Amino acid sequence: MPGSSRTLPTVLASHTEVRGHLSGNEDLTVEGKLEGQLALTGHLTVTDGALLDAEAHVTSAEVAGTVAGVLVASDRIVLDRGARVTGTVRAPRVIVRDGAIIDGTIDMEVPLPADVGRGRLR
Amino acid sequence: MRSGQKHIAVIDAGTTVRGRIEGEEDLHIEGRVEGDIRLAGGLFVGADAVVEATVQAHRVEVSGVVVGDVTAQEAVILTSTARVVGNVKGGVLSMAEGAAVRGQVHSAASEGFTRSSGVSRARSSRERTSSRAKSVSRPTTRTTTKAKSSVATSGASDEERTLVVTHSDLRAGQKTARGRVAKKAPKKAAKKKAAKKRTRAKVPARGKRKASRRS
Amino acid sequence: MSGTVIGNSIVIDGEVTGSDDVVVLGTVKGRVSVDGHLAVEREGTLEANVEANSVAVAGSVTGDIQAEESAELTPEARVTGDIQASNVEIAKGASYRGSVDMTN
Repeated sequence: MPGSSRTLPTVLASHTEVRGHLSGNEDLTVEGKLEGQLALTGHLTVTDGALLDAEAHVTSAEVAGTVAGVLVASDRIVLDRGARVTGTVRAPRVIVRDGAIIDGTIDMEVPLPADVGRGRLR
Repeated sequence: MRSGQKHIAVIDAGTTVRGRIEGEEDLHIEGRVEGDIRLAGGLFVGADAVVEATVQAHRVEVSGVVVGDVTAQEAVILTSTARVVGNVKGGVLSMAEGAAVRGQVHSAASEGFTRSSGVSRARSSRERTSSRAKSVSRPTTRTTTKAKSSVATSGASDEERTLVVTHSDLRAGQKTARGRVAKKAPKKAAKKKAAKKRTRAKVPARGKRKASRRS
Repeated sequence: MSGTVIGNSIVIDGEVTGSDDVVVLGTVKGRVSVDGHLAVEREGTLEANVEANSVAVAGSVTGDIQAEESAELTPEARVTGDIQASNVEIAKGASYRGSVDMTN
């Protein structure tokens, strides 16, 4: 009801589409579609059936929907069952759970011994 | 495949191979390899191994370092100590928590290891293609072919060497696999027997995809 | 029905569309077009043209409001823009500048 101040979690519901630039300092759950750019200091949840088609920079993310575009997390990204990555996920740690489908790029920190070359990555 | 001994090649820790490795059977790398690896069998990269090579194999299981593109027919399994820089393609991808990857990944259906679940359900029919009924006779004894003696250790010349790992029963001149899956895939159950103590994950039995590897 | 909630720290520069209800506690600049109810809370800010089934404003809106059914401004509302709706209620205390069209 109008006029009341509520603390509700931010959710883009399943039949909502946001196109453009979204920024914020709180957790965000995407059940619908987010297209464009995302800059979030917080945890991003992409639910099963949702679509993130954006250049997204977040603190952490848990994905059970589709990620196209580039998802970058400063902490970690978890790809759950139902996740479909057709773009790039980049984080110090990326955890791929049972049932996640990846047809894109995983970009994690890979500690290599000092004497190993890196020239092969295209 | 006639009955006889099954050969498994091991590149020991402390050994460096530079050049091309081709083979029909499985290859276990505990040392270093730089170059090109093409196997009709399975490639197992041990926890302390370093492979800087383009890899093509029927199945690839990584517990160590691989820098290079990895292509597998059946599955690519990255255990919790795997570190891969390169593009990973083919079959089912299994990534244990702790595996580190940087590269393009194309998998039919990824399977990750989770603590609680014991069995990962097959998600696509592609996972079944390797479960052939064709039997390879179970070996009664095992011979481990060590690559140590025939290969240069570190400081070798720049000339490319080819190390061919073949089953002794193949006639000379018979074609080895060149980037293609050989018709006879090594019987997976045979891998369960360990000729010697090695750090390696259990390979799931045919027909089952049991994620049981915990480091 | 659980709908879309745009929290206080969220700033959207673009379009929000869809059939869910939407509650805005943050900022939306651009365009809002929803088939449901749009509520702009007291801390919410809209710099956008709005199309919705129904609209209730307790916050700040700069832009035209077009509602299928009703548009309501509470005493805390600050609205600049034209309103077109079948039913319009502007509470006492609301700050409003624009023209109202209640014809069907």
